[in-house]
Amino acid sequence: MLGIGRFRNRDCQGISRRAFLQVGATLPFVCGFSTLGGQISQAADAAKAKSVLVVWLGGGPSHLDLFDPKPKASSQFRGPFATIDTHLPGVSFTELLPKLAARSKNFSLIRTNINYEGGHRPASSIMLTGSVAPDGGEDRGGKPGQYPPNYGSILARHRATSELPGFVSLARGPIGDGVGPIFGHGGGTWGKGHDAFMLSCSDSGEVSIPALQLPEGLSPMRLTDRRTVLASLDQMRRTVDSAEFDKWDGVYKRAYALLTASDASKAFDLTQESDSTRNTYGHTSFGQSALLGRRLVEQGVPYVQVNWSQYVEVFFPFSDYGWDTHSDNFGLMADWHGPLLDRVLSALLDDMQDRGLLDSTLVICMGEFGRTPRINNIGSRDHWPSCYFSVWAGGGVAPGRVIGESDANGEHPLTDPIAPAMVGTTILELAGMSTARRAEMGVLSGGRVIDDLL
Amino acid sequence: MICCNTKRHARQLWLIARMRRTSIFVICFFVVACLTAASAVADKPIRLTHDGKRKLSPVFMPGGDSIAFTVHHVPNQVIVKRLNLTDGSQEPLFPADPAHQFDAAFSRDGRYRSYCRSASIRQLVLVIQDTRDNNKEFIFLPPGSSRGTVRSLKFTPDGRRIVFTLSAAGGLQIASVNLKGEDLKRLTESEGTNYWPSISPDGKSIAFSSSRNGPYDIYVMDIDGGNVRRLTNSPTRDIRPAWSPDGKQIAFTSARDGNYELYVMNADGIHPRRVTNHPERDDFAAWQPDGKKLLTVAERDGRMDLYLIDVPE
Repeated sequence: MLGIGRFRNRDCQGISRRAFLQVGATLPFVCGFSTLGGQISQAADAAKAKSVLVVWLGGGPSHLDLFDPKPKASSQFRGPFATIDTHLPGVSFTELLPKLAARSKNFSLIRTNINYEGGHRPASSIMLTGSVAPDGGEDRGGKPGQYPPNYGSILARHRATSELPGFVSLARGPIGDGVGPIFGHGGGTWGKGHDAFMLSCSDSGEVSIPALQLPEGLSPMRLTDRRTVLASLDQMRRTVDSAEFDKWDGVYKRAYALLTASDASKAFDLTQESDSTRNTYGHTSFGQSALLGRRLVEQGVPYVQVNWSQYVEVFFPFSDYGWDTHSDNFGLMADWHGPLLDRVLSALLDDMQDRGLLDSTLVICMGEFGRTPRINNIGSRDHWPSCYFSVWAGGGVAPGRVIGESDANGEHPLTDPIAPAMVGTTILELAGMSTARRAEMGVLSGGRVIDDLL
Repeated sequence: MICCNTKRHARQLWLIARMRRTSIFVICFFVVACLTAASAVADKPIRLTHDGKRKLSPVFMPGGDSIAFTVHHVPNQVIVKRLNLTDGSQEPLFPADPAHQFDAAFSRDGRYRSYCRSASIRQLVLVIQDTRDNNKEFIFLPPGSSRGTVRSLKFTPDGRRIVFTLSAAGGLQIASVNLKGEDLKRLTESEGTNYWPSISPDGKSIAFSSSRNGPYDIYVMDIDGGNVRRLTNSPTRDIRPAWSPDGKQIAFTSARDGNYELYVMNADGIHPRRVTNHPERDDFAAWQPDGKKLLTVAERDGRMDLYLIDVPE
């Protein structure tokens, strides 16, 4: 169920000729993996959240059409969806979320998140780092490498888990919009070595590493032989541009070490799950990615980001149905986005709970902003960073709470807004990083915890 | 799947048995017998596809031996496919088009076909092709913003116009154009969202969903947009009406029982009855040309496929 780069190792017809890394015991074991399988570093022991799993809804999901409906607002605001009761007194969601409404006692909801930017990439970077980029952000000429590190990069460094990636992000490639990637998705000023380790999971559960392209002359089948691999790499080192090779070589070695470690390989193999479990998540890329995320957490990966899509856009020719519903928001929400989010997030929360993982795993579902409460001039909704939602569960979060209240049209918080730095501070605090430790690492040392969540 | 008729029969038997003060054993015996008989009469749903990929907007093509449907083919492309019912084969309907494609529609005589195409000049444009003229294309660009869209296309029975959902200020409206993508006529101008038009077989009326009075309900109007009447009044959404070939019934999707299920009602809105009953999703009803079955997209075990199901009396 796993391949590198563009290669696949299994399809409906069985084993592909192009399969090259059959994970499992038959592969050479090139490096140790001492930190897997519950042997988490000491830093995790004191944490309420031994792992963090972020479900990232890139593009900006509409808060009014999901978790913060305004049925009494005028038709210019409220949208076409009915509201349904939750298990929390006086709290309603829209009818697009019946499963989550039935599980409302299992998570807490913030209705007053805010962001400082209205563009996808800068807002995403802020939400994923808790900080505003010093160069003004991607839309103002910002450069990669000048951004604060992602929460995942911070936690991965704090936990220091040898070859096991401390920060895994699940998408078809670097997440972003049609203009470019989100710089705050990676290690930022700490360097590319602290970037997320990207894995891609298809709707059939095939896992691959999208960034890796095999160099010319190195066939997939030869990779199963360690001596051949090393010889090939040595030869390549002499024949290709050294900087380019080093970049590829570093990623390759990390990937190869990860994929050939038996414990790690189990995490990637979704066929080890029962059909019932896989069906419950649903056979979509997002659903199977969420299941993969749970498996990675189970194996001790400290920080996993499950991405709804690679791109935020919905309809552009390159895009893959993100949440940026400037057009046809109400058709898309009824056809696809609402039901899929409801199914997958519910399945994830149930599964984590059933396996006893939820207490030790902080699950957060959020995007970079919400969408305009006022319906736009083409009957849809645009970006809205002034007030939106996030869902929190497990890992020290008290369930069944609704934190914050928005105004009558969902445009602005009536209560204290929850700033991105508070999101990041709370994540890191629950993951066992004290103020002193954050100060030592130079990250989010001045942030405030969202006390109402705890 | 247990249809509502089965439940009703079971209840009738239970009441009869109670009146006659028969034993619990006898009641159970008859209920089981009734369920068995009912399931023997009703055909099982016929699964038409097996890939499990996300599907939308299936429709029978002219002649009735093929189905066109929208499918999330690969992660970054949604396309329209044709399913040949005689041999089960599938093929892209617009293979030369690399854009996202949605919501295919066909004129009754099969000469014209239409779909929504993602583009940069507008988000979704209306494409009309004349199959008798080397697929010559006519494009309708939704007016206004570059993010304008058209969705949910239907040809009028006389084949002269296409009715669709059009992005508009403050909401979505039902509109139509001729076969050259010209002569735009706005058929609704209400508050809220108006979506999923379905034209009666006689061409005189259009059923559609609207949020003008709250959550989506189903309405009907004359073909020119006049004489709007409300057919449903549900606390949750009633969407995607589909007029039966004989014009006597309308199928639709409703969440009135907690999740997406299919219902059928008389064309005047009375006698709604539930067609599907499953904890997963049943959606996108389209009538088989003989009116005996509904073509649907059903989610089963997390996979979305096309099915044919019986329509209750």
